[in-house]
Amino acid sequence: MKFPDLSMSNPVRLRELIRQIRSAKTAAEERAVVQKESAYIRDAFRDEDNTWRCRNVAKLLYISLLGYPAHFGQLECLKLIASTRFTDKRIGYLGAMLLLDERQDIHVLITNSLKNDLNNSNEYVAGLALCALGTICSPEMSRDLGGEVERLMKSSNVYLKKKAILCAVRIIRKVPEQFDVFQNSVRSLLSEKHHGVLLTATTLITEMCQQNTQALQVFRNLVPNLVRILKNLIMAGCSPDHDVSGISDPFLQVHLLRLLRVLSRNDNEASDSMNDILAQVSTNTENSKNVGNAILYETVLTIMDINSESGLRVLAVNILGRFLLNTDKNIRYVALNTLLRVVHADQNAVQRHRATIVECLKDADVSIKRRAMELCFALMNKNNIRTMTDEMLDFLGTCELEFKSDCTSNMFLAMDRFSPTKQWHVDQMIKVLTTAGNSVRDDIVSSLIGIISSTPDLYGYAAHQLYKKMQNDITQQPLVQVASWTLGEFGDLLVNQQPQNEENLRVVEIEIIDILERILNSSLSTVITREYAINALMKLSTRFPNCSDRIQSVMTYYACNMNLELQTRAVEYTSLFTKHNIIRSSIVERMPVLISNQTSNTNSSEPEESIINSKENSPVNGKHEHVPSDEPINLVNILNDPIQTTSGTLNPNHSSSLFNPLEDSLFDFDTPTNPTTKSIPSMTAIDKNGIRMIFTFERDNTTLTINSKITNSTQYSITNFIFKAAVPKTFNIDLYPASSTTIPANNSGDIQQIIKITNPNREKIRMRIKLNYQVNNTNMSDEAELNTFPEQCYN
Amino acid sequence: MSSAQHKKVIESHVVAVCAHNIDEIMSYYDPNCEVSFDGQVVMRSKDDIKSKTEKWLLDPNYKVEIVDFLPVEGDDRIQFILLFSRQGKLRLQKWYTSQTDKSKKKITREIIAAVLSRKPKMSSFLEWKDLKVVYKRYASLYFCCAIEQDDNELLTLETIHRYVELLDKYFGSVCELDIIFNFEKAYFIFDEFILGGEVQETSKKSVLKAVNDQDVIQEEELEEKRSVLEDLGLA
Repeated sequence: MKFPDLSMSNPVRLRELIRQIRSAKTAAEERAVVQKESAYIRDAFRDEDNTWRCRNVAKLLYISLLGYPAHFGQLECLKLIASTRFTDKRIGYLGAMLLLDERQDIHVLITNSLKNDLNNSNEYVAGLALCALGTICSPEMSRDLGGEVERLMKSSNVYLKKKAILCAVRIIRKVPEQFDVFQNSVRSLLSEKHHGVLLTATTLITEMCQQNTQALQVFRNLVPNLVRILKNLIMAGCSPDHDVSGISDPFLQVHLLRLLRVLSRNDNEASDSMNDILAQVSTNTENSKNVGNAILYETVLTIMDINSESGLRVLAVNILGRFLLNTDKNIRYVALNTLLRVVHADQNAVQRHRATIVECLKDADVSIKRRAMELCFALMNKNNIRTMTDEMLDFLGTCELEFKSDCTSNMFLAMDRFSPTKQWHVDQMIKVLTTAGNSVRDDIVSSLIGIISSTPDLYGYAAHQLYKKMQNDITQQPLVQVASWTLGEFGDLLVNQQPQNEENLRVVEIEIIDILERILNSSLSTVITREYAINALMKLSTRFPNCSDRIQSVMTYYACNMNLELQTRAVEYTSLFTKHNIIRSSIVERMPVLISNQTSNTNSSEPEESIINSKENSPVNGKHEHVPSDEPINLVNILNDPIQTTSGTLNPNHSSSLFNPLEDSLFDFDTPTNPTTKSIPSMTAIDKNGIRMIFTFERDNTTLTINSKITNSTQYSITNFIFKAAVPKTFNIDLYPASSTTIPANNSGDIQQIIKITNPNREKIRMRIKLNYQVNNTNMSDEAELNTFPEQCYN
Repeated sequence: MSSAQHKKVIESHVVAVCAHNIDEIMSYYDPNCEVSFDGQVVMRSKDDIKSKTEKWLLDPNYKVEIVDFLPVEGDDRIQFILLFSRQGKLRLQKWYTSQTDKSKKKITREIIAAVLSRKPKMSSFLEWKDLKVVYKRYASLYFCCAIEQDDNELLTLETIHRYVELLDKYFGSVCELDIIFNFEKAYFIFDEFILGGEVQETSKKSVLKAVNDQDVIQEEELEEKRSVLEDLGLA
């Protein structure tokens, strides 16, 4: 085939330039060629050289494809478009589509040329204009040229018609009001025979229905027409021009199926009228090639999305089941993706393909693996939790690093919901932690601690298991953190209650202290882990009185540690050994049962939850737990430590999920929970970046009114302050407007905002808050999760 | 925020937003989501939300709850298409979303790196940020389309294949050099097949006829120009 050459003679033809650039041996050489040519093109543009403009722009487009700057050609494209020569226009529009978009102000200059060309009698000139409009049309152009496009949509020339229809799609996407312009000319488009027109018309109607619910109602009566078009398409004989491997125009089929889905979603009558055709497509489409599967895939989506017959839905899930067994990875990927979308509607149907899905966890392709993993978690339930956990543990051991943290978090959630026994749960979680190593999210650590803490029967057992793991390896931070906490709390149980059937040597106190000290000193431990360790050691100082001296010397040693947190703790603990030795034992008393967020999240309806609550509050068990609660006030005075006062109240600087080991036993009771006082203590919701927000409470049965007062201690005033709050679905929240959106600087004023929460079930209140504001013209935003509301707020 | 993340946030929490701050609601607004307020009205565009909420905004105690985000039905709209060689050299690019040059370059670089690092036995789909990249290798060239998450990936593969067939028919067993030296032709063919990211013509014949007809017009103009130059004694 011979190509008309754009360029004619000197200086350099386009093809010659390409050849020169390609023959450059080094990047520097290529740059030199391009720079020389760019400089020449620039000069030519400046000289208003009309003869070679077209060729120069074409050269520039090639240069820009290589990543070199070409913006100076934008105006030249406009000049080419305004030319009368077709060659100029063709390259001009191509350049405009590549170099211009609505970001450049200059693009509006094209509007007039477009308008002229849309009216040009040559269909190819008008076609070029439509193509450019469909690619770079901006809101302004949409308004200016909507009328022209509508006129061309009604043209008898199908070449222009189909292009105009797609321009209309772009226009109503940009400016939805333009909808009215096209509304009336759409309907008749479906009576056309031309595939291009039908295809583009389907696209336009789909777009309109998605934008506008009224249009959806109106177009719904097109369903019979669409069904007929689809039927004719399937029945029609072979048309090699449109078909792909023996399947009639798959592009049109898929678009029709999609429009049918949009039209009959949530509509029984429309759904009914397409049952037959959907069944026909799903049974008759030949599935040996990708193209057939593309249609089947779209059909499945439609069946699952509309109110179709149950038989049809089973058929659809079975098609996906067949997809899963396909050797083509693309088909398997699509199947997993779609099953994930339908799994909540048809659990049982998907459950039947579980074995195949688990197989996909071993796939070499990460996209497939990820989908399979998500699907496996969606399929976990009470009955299969044991086998599925084993499968997922295998997966966790072999999968790429990027999957591990998601996988562990999801395993944790699933076990939390479905675990048959607590012991099994703890065992599996320890396995998860050992397998996943350091890629475990922080919240898992605190949640596992919560679980251990809430199961007194397992205290000794958990301590023993964790101790065993730690003997081998102290580098897995999350595991070590859980273990440190458990040893600190229940180290005495570990020494006293040895499991009967273990032939292991007895664990002696000194060994536990050894291992914790190793953790504290190890250079591989993170600061958080070392905090856990130093806390554990402190607790053991009363549980193991014989080791008390040794622990005291560790504390003294750490009192001059470089890390501020560790140093602070060590100094405090040292003074507990010396000045305040009398209260030491009560301060490091065993902690009350922790209620983890996760547990209350997922188990709220299950009985375990209430057991935890009643235990905590019942007077019998409460005895030893309430002992320390009298202490903190003294503690604040004795230790005279400024850090402590802030760490005792809720401190949103710590991420909500992060369980701060240094706050656990000592400072959890800072809000005095004295049952005799009627008034509810106030609470600092957030104290960060100079913004302090204090909540005071008033309660009327299930309604809690929170008066929030926000002050600003920075030297700048805060403007555009917006407070947002969210609560779990079981609560109801009303946020009243704030008294102002500006908070004066230096605490010289405050703003107030009332929040009303209705809590019909009297659950523990949890709230997520977000602050947006401007300081000194910079936008700031803070978030915090509040779950330490005083008990009187809800109980 | 991606629409998936977005939905997640909404599903787990009922978000109360102070009504006097419509701009805040707008910052929640994700063009890929439909918003239903009060459980009834479904709105798609920003302007739509603004006008419909305006009357509620006059009431100081009014609370707007974003109760639901419905995903918008995917269409096969291609966001952008890239053709590049096995060496990672870009051969063709077409963007249907407005991007700065800098971000175009960044996206191109990242996608080329991601696709080239895929192993031959992997699927043709790559999840990349909010988009899905569908790619296929033909000889030394990668053809790569970015579509939205909900689109039909298998059909996009067919679209790519159809484009390759068109190139093949036009050039007569196409090779990478054809596309390098006649990149503008490759663009012209593409523009007759796809418009604004949507397939406009499924007949191969019609596409090629349109391209060839336009080539003929160009050739005629060239002849004319040549003869003018000859008259002037320049050729």
